[in-house]
Amino acid sequence: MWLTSLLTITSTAVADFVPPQLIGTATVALPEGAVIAEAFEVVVRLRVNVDGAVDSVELVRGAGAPFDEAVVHGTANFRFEPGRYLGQPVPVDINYTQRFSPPPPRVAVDEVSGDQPADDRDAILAGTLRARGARAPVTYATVRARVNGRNFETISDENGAFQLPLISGTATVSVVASGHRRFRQLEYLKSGEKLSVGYYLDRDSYSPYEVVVTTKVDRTEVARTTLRGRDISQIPGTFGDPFRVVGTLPGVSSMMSLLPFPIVRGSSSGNTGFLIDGVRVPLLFHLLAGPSVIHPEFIDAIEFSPGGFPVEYGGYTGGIVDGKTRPARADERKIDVDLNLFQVGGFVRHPLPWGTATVAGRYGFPGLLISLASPEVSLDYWDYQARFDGGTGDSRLTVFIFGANDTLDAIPPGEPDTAEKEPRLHALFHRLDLRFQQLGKDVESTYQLTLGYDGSLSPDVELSSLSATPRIRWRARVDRTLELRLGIDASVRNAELTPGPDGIGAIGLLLGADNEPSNTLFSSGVLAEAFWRPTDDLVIRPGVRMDGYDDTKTTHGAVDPRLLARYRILDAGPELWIKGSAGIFHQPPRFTIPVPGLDELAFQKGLLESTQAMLGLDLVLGDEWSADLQTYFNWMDPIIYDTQVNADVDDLLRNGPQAPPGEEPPDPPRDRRELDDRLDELLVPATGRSYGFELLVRRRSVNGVSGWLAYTLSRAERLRDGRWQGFDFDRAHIVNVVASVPLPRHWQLGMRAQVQTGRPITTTSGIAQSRTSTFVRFDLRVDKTAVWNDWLLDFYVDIANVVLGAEELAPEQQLRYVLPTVGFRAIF
Amino acid sequence: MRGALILFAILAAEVEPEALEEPEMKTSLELETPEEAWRESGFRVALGYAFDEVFGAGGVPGGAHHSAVLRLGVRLDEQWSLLGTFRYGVRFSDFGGMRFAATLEPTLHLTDAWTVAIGAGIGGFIIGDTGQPLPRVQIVATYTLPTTTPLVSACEGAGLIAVARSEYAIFVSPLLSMGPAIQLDAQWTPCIDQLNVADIDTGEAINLKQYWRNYGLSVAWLFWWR
Repeated sequence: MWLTSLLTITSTAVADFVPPQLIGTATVALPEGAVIAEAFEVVVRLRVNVDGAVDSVELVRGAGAPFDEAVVHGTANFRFEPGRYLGQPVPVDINYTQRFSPPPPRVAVDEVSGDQPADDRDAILAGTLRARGARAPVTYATVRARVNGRNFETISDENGAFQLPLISGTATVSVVASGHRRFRQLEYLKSGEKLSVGYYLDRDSYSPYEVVVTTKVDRTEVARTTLRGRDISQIPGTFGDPFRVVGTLPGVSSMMSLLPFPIVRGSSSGNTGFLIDGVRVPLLFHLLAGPSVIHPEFIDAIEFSPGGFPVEYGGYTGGIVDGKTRPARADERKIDVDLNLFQVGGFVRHPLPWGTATVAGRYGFPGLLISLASPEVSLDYWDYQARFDGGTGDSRLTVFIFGANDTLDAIPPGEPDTAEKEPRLHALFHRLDLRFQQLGKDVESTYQLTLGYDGSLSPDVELSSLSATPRIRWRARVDRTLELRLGIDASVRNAELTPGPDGIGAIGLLLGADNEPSNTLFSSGVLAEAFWRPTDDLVIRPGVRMDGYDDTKTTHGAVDPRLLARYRILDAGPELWIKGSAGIFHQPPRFTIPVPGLDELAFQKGLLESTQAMLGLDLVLGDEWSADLQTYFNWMDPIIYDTQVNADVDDLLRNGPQAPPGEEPPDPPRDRRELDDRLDELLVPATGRSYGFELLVRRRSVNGVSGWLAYTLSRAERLRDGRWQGFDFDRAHIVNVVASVPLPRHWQLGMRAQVQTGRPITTTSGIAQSRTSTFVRFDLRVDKTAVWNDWLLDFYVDIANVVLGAEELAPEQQLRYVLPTVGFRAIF
Repeated sequence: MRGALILFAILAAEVEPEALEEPEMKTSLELETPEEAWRESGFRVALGYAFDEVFGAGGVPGGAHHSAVLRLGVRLDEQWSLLGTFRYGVRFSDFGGMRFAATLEPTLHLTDAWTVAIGAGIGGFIIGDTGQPLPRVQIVATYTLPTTTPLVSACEGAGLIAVARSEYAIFVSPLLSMGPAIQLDAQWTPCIDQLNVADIDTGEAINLKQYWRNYGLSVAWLFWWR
């Protein structure tokens, strides 16, 4: 009997969703008397109910009788740990693929069954077959023994056990199982002996990142892309960091390809929110080209909204990047240790009597590689996370503590290369997130309190802030079609600023025109949203949130109405949805790059506002392919702390570019003006708009090529002197192709190609009258998983910009770089 | 009949405690010799170290490089492989720098252990300081120096590289092998000396350009994994 099973559930996932987990072994018995000439598959769709049982089985792709019936009947008896949404069991549809393979070539066998012993057989070989590294039983494998030129054969049962009567002597035992590598072992059996053995078989495919079950629930999201599993852990050029994958999605460009400051739909990088389970993270990425501050094992999914997000999220006018952590299961144990050229990290999860505890941390030493390119700079960092998941079925308690520290030292400007490095920047933050959820039949409540400390230290100034952010969410199911979602947000933050020995320096300008920053900022908000699904084909989500901000001197308020909707216009074969969103978004001024302790600034300038509209199509082609097409328009007025780097024409003309003969060339024009002037410009309110077209074509496959093509055609502009001119980081075309494929013997190969056209630059003809060169970058990643009896060792090579494509940062400045790493990851 | 009786006796003994003990789990014996395994088609990867001695034509800088090598590809059949190599070398001299190459190499297996390959691809330099003074020229547009005298003060660019290589494999196991390699290469690089200025009318960078020819001899030791 030659069967292998594969569980895949394809589609988008939603927040706080835990997919069903199979209990035991998925086994479908081969129909009696069936003959398999060549391999084929039968695909069924299972409805797993809230008890974990299979409610219904629907044939998706059959192979004819009697195999279809065997799969339908066999899968109906599967048992699952039910899928959960916000901790509550929910029914989920999953696809199950049953693969039938032909048996190996037959040999002359004395007996194929232990039930009918031959007269001269005087020994028994009995044992169990398990998959190496995973210890799962290997079912329905052929166990063959050759003794003194005679062959004996049997088949392992549903527990991986077998019993093979044979003659005494030296037996050459071979095991053949679909989905596993061939096995061979020598055994000596004495007459009258029953020899018990246990055999480990290597699977054809192992991946420490493998998500056996991914999930799809109802398509209710409008503008959100969700990535999980291999799509966030093994993308070339990201070094396994889930948050860096956002840079490969539509609507996202960057200030510089190495730096993780995204420009989302033409908005300033400071206007995009980086969140962990909805909690704002002041410094999501370690300095320079560092990874995110959360161990990747915590992250179950990355949810990215380039715009048009629901009222759940307030205080941002750009996009939202929300890393969703996965609640630990009550019995979950895991140890994960990794080491690469940049950092060493560990992750330990273990059950406790009252829940499950997880601790993780990393120490980074990128200075080793940085010193090759910039010996005058050194950097190290660490981060930590500790989490407790507890509670019963109806209530869930989570305590999550995390934080990070970065220290950047450099030789002071003007000093020789041999001078001592001095601290230039020290950034630090801590967060304590307490969350309690009550899951009733019709009402779900979430109570959350987040306490934080942020600090930054530079030669000019020391910044620190304390914050407390309570949050409450309720979801009430009114009837089968309507759910109401209500929420209250609040925040209080107290900041301290200590000038350096030489005064406050340029930082004072950032804090406001009057140079007298307020120490305290209060904010509060209420939100209400109706989630209305009158039919299976229509979802409408009207909502509104109201926010108020007060810094003890000035008070600002905002009302943000938003509407999201999607309608299924085709449900026969391919599934086609039309979707749209419109809304108003506000946020306090926030500096263009994240600096802990320097969050909301220049509050007296008022709130930033953005009006966004999107219309799109969502196409689902079978279980593996999908396409998402969106067109959007964003109106941004006002913008404060806009990301600007270009000179204006006057500066360009004032500072001639040519170097006098034999002398050093002048500094680039953008550095000519006094820093004070440039910082002052950041506080001048600006008006902007952006519009474009985004396409995402995805393929999700467990065994085949997975990846996506993301294309963005866009235009981002600012109103300057009464004319619309290109935003400094506007890029007309951005293409990302991401592909990864598992190969035999536990290899996985990944590739990413990125093409982005140049950004505007200033010439004598005016601002944004020319552009930098197109940037082409290729990334490569190779993973090899070595399988030991009880653990896996993953070895990987990940190289960003493998052929050192030149990136033109400014007309007179081109950067070629390569960022390689080699790493090991052990999983127990 | 005697065998059947023994068999029934063994089966009856199943209830004995020792029969219920968990046996020691075993892994498979090797199913093929290392040579057989490495002859099979499939994907493989190598990581290694190379010492490159680079020679410049016409006064172009050369020097010793210590390189990291990543080679990956597919064994197509018993005779041929198609490999790609990424090589990143750090130049250890007074002025430092980096040499890089990405090449595609059809590889012929003369014996199980001995291969020869030729290939071509992209190769380049990033040398921030060649030791030469900044040319005393004032230019208003990018200028290409027709010869390598005087030498530009810095070189950054990627051009073409051709390689010829011979490699020997010592098979450690069906999954691991290692061995030495010797390689000759010829590289043609359009060097850019960035002057950090731009044409204010067009926005285009104003640079000095110069073409370099270099030849290299490389010895390497690689660890292969399949």
